[in-house]
Amino acid sequence: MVVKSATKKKLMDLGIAENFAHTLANDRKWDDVKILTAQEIAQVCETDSETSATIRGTIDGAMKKNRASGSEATGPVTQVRKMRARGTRTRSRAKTAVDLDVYNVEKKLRSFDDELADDKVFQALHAAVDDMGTNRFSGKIIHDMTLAIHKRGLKKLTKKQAAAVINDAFNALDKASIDPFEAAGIITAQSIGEPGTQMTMRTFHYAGVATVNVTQGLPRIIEIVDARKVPSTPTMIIRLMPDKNSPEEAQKLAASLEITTTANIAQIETDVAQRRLVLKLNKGNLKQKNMTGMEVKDKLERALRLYVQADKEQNPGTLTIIPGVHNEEDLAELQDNPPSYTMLLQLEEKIRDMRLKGIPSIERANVQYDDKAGEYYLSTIGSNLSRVSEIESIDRSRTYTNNIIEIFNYLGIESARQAIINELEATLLSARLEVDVRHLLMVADVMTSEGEVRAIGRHGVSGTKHSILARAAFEVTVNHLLKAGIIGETDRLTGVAENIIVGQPISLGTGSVELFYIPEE
Amino acid sequence: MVKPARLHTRFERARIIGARALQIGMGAPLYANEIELREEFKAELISLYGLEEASVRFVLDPLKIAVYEYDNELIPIDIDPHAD
Repeated sequence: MVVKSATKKKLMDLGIAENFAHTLANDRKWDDVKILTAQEIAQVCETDSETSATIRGTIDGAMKKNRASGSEATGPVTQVRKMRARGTRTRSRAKTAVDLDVYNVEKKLRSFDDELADDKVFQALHAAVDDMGTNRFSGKIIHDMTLAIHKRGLKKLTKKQAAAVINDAFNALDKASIDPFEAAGIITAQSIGEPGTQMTMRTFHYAGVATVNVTQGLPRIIEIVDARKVPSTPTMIIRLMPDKNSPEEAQKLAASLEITTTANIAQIETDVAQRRLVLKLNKGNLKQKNMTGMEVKDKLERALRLYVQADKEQNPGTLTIIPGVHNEEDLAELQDNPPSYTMLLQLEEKIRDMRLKGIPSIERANVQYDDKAGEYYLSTIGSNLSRVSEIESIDRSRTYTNNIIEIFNYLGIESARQAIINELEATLLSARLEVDVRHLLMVADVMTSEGEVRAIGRHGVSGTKHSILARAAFEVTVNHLLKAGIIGETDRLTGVAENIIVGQPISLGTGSVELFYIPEE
Repeated sequence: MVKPARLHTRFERARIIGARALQIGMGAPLYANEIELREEFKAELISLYGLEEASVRFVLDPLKIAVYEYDNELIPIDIDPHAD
């Protein structure tokens, strides 16, 4: 019988018969096994109480021995295990930050009023709005106007001034709003589409820092609008907490974020003659990644469940791994049963790309200096918002990723909407194209209005329209019509495409107006 | 004659004027009276028919008459008066 689990191995090492060890280790860890009573053992192994009592005794004996050797802390293996246990516990406690707060809209809106309740300008504006008798100004708008006036250095407003401000604001709002039943989506499409034609020609070369090369221009716009799961160049901007903002701290954080594979820190040599892998650790790389040789050994042992030999206790320079050797005792059996060549190659493959340190999918993290804010920050290749947000020394509120789906999964749909707007705007601005932000709001709203990020196209917005005719007009006409016919769908003819198909006025613009005869009184 | 229920959007304006212009074009009686119209479109009638005939002949673009009627709130057509 092949020894599969470590628990079974341990039980057999204690001198328990293989068939009992197998049943006990089945689906149980060592911790589960050692708390079983003699009765339970008898039940599980289907044996008499005498045998089970013996097994129980053996396990008890092993536990006592284990504890004794642990307190003495003699063997190097025990020592490592103790260190490891302590390490994981403290790390998980230190790095996991508090949970996200639930966003309360009402509370937020009320906070605008409460925040400036004693403010003279705020009161004056409020009074002016009340005088005007309009409901077009929300608390947020008045709040923003108050802050803008403060920025211009005014501490209070006369009644006349307040009225003038509100009047101007009203006119500006009026000017900015469009008529109901305007075909806003078409205007959006045109407003993004026209500048888009200029984009492709301009964005082939990108002069800048060689380490950062984020997809820009039309390809990026397409990516956003398609709602890709992962963008072609995911990046994060990670800001640090003010008290942790030093180049050393930043470098330390960068080292802990970056994925470090075995190949990064060691030269892997396959010793075919002796059927073993020899890792020659690179001291310089280790230091750069803020790791020690023992840490590497520990990580490899845990991940591979193999015995890793180090050339010395402190700061080992080479590590030796032999496939199939799970602990020191196995070394003895090596002569009779050497590992196969395939096993060796498979192991090498496995070790080469093994993640020893870092956060999944973050390939690189560079420390950069922000001249404007005068602080250090990290820019990464690869993105993992949820894991990075758990690190305590980062400023979560200013940490950014360009992966919209990740933002949606971690922060929710409203954040995803804002992320779409931000990303579109940044991409367009980087190409020096000025598209009114309201067109981008439109795109973001259409994509997120159903509670999840939907692509614009066949698999998203256009493919999930309610109207059969509208869907049929878009793509794969026959399939849609056939399916609708089979299950007997109805079309309410509320949209534009359907009405054009049946030859009716559409429900936009003049077509939306219904006329009534008003008899003379 | 007919006060609009509220300020019309440009679509509503266009729709009302369009409907009225169609009626006028098909020969419907006008709500605007002839003297007022002659006064309003004096220059145009002269350019069309010359000085002598301008005071006798009276054929105008129905759309222009409809716009005049609309501007003077003479058309008894409105958008849904029961809405909002």
